[in-house]
Amino acid sequence: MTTKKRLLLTVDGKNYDVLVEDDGTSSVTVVVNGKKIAVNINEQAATEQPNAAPVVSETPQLVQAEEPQKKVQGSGSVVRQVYAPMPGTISSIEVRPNQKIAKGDSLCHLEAMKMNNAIHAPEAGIIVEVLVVINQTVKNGEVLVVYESR
Amino acid sequence: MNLADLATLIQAPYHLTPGHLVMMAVGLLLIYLAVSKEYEPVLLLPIGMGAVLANLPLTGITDEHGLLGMFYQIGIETEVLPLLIFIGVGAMTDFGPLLENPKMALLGAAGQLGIFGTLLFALFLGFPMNQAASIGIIGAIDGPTSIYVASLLAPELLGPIAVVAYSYMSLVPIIQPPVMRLLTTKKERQVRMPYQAREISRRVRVAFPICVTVLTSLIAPVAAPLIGMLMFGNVLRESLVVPSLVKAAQNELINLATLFLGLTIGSTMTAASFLTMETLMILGMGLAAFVMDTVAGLLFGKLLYVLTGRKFNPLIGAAGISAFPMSARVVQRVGQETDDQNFLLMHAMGANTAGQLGSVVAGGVVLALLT
Repeated sequence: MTTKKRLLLTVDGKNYDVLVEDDGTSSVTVVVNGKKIAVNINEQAATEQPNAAPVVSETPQLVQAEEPQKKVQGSGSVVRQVYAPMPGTISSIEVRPNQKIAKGDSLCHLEAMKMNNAIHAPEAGIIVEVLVVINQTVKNGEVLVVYESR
Repeated sequence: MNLADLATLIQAPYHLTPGHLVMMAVGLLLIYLAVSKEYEPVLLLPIGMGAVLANLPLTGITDEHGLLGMFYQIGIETEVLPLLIFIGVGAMTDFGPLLENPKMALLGAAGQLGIFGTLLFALFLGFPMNQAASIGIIGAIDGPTSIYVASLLAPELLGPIAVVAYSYMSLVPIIQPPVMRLLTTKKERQVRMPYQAREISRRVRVAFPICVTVLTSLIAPVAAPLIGMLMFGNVLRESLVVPSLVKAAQNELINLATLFLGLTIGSTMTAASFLTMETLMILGMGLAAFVMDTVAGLLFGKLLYVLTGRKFNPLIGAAGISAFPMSARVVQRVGQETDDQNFLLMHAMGANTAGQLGSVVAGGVVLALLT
């Protein structure tokens, strides 16, 4: 049996229209702003932390990370995203998950209009997830990196 | 065989003058800059080689029936070579950033004010009108337009103007930033401008070059070859139906035209025409024109900063010149050194594209007024 649930979420000032299609298996189909993403469910997280849904739907890979709940619950820290400021191609990636970053550190490089632009960390924190790979074409506003601010 | 015939083999060295030697040294310097420093090698290397060839005595290579002399008559006196280059430039230009943000056209216009400022200054220094106008065009840092206007108005200055225009083109990242820092406050440079991508339909993309051609040609008919070829190349590009022609225009056509143009311009660099006070003055005024264009763009940017309630970053004004995409990159770089979260590149590209168009239109206006 397939259940559908539509969520209108605002995360970090950005609006998301999320449609979750659950067919009862360990994976669900999530449509974020019209973009279809297959997501595996961490059963524990799904049952114990139903409120974690916004994080699940928004950054699907986060679900597969070891302990997504902790990151949300951790005192004073907030999970934030770094967006592509313009369309382009990822030319290099300088950070890995769990890496500590300082404000101004270069996270990755985005080549746009034949110019290689460093994407800098807006604040200090720890990298949660890198959502792009080298040579990936990204759209304006696409999430590049998720980090937990300190 | 007569022994005296052998003498003809060593005749040429006796005809070498100090002027020849100095001009060959200038040619070698250009070759050095092109090869070792990669300063606009695509043009400066052929110019350098042309200068060396033209200053070897007794070759007759620049005479009416000499090889380079014929290139000059066929390619430059007829204006054909620079115009072929414009087809290629048009095929390479994406007016998208400008169409996404049409108000950037204002900056492309403001960036041309230095041209007219320099023109007045050159007149003041005693240059005749045709030469003054040709020198002013350097300010837009548009090599092909500078060459085209000079070949029509002041062919005697073609060598120095081409060399100066292309030299400054490679100096954009050195000359612009200090002017930009000097004329803007930190607060102004920190203005962030989020970028909103907008889809431009193919219909608009094809219609734009045609409309510009028709409108500018009705206003300044003598500019029709210049704008017409630029926009012809652009129509090919945006039509999406002739990829092979676009590829030819972007590569073979523009490269061959540049090759012959550079070599031929180099061959006009003789001691009599190049080793003059005027060349030095053109060097100085070209720089003044370039700085004035940058200043005019920045001041206009500051005006927009005020008019928009501090939402417009005035640095973008500096990109309203023709040096594409160097100038837009400089804006991005100077913006980021003040605030590493600021990305002005796409806005600056809009202004830069407008500058490319603006300098060609300015060239056309100058021609319309003077011919």
